[in-house]
Amino acid sequence: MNDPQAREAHQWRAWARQRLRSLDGTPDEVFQLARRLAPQLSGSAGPAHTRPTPRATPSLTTVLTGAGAGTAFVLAGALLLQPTPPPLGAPASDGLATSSSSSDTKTSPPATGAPNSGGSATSSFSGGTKTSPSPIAAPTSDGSATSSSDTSSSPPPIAALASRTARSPAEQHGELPTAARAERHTQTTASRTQPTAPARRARADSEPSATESAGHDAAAVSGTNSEATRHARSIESDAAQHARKRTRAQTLGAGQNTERELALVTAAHAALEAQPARALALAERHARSFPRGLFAEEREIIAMEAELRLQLRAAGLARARRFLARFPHSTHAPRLRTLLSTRGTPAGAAHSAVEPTPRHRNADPPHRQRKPNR
Amino acid sequence: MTSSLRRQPAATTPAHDAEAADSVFSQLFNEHASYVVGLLRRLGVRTADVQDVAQEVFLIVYRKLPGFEGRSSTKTWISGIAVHLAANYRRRAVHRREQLAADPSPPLGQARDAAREWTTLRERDALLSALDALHPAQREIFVLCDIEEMPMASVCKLLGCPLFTGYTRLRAARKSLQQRLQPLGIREPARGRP
Repeated sequence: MNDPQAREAHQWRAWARQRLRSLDGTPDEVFQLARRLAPQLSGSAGPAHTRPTPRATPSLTTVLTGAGAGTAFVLAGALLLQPTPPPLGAPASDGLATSSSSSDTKTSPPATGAPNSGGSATSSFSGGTKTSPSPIAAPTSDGSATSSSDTSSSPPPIAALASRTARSPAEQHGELPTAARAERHTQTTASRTQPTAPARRARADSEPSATESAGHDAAAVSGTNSEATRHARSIESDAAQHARKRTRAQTLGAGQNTERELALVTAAHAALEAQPARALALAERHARSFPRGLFAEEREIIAMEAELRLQLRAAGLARARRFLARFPHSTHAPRLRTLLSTRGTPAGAAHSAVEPTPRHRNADPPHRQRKPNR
Repeated sequence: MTSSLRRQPAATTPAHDAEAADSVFSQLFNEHASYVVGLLRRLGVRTADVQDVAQEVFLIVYRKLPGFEGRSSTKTWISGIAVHLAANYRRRAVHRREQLAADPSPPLGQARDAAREWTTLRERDALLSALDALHPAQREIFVLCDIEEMPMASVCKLLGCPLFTGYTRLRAARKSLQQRLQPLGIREPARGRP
């Protein structure tokens, strides 16, 4: 294989990789998955212990508290615990609230009767240190259960989980805006974990896409402290990104118009397969309403495809030529050049340039082909 | 990661063991959950079922974690589980008669990038439908080698096929995809694109 071909194949693969990698799970999906997974794991965990509370068991707790416990598992635990029955009672939530607040601000003294509450919260926060459940149990039982080393006792997990949920109501009531919360989160986490916090935060500012790449980067960095920091960074960069997007949309004045435009184009695209005439009509309506709209290119492409499907070849090809003249650098341009270069071939070729015909699609599936000569 | 897994048998008490396994598992989940979801989609699991299959994947990972010997990387190991479950899914899906609506496309942003994003989505859909038309074995090889960029040797080990079979399938898959996508005009990769 000579060089340009190899290069082209390489480029093509890179293109496909770029498109298909975008299918990776979003943080939302990962969170949903964690939420579904948590009760299942508790059900199938270690065989030896009897578990009094089926919804939150030691194994689940260690899953939730241990190992950096990225957003997903923490949030899943929080959700699971929302309908927590009263048996845990007021003292638990009380002590936990204080412990969580002390862990957050890090300035107030530890709560009474729970000397290691701050420590437990810290360890569960920084994670990864394989915190045994016993210190977490301390606030629940007023400091008396510090020696419970059995992981099967039910209070510890609940306590640990509740200490995570204890913060969430305050956040839900909107005590702090997201950015400020992220800021505080970063500060507290960083001050606890790494001395080089300012440098990290500066980097977080320069990396708006940290959320996207978090999943892949995680393989490289297995230190859980840095995971917690990264988590904070991703929250922060999320907030910053949203703010930036909002202002950008406002300055562009692209509000409702874009949405209406998008709705039209999407409808046209959806109709393209089954009702090309309708797609063409919608595209023309778009052309009347938004002659220089954001989706002008897409509208033209849809209209052209619709015309080709309606056997209006001359009109379609003329539109393609106009398109090429107007948007020579469009992402669709290479495709249209292919189309225009095949127009001399007999009937059906133009159509197949848009969509493979059934004959083409079924033409000798390659896995049944004979091996080509080398 | 692998080293911590190797160290795991050294733990003494069962409780300690379970705890270590749990923390390792949560690390694995945080590292690979997003990747597994994507991989399943690339292997042809529909969006509506991705969560189910991904859940199965991680349940199996959880159960088999103590027996994992660390002979391959964890990513390869999890990929193997995902590939096999996706194959099971396809087999089950053969018997399914229900017609699902097309996968909903994600909402687009309102900024200037929306148009480009839209084009990208369309190209991705074309690519996915071309992948759907491939033979499953070819699709697995193509996804693992060309998209996930795993070395052919470990892919073949994972799929249990001889090395040369792997190369043959990969070549056939690439050719078939090129043939399918060429008429759509999206053969040339990136002249106008950034």
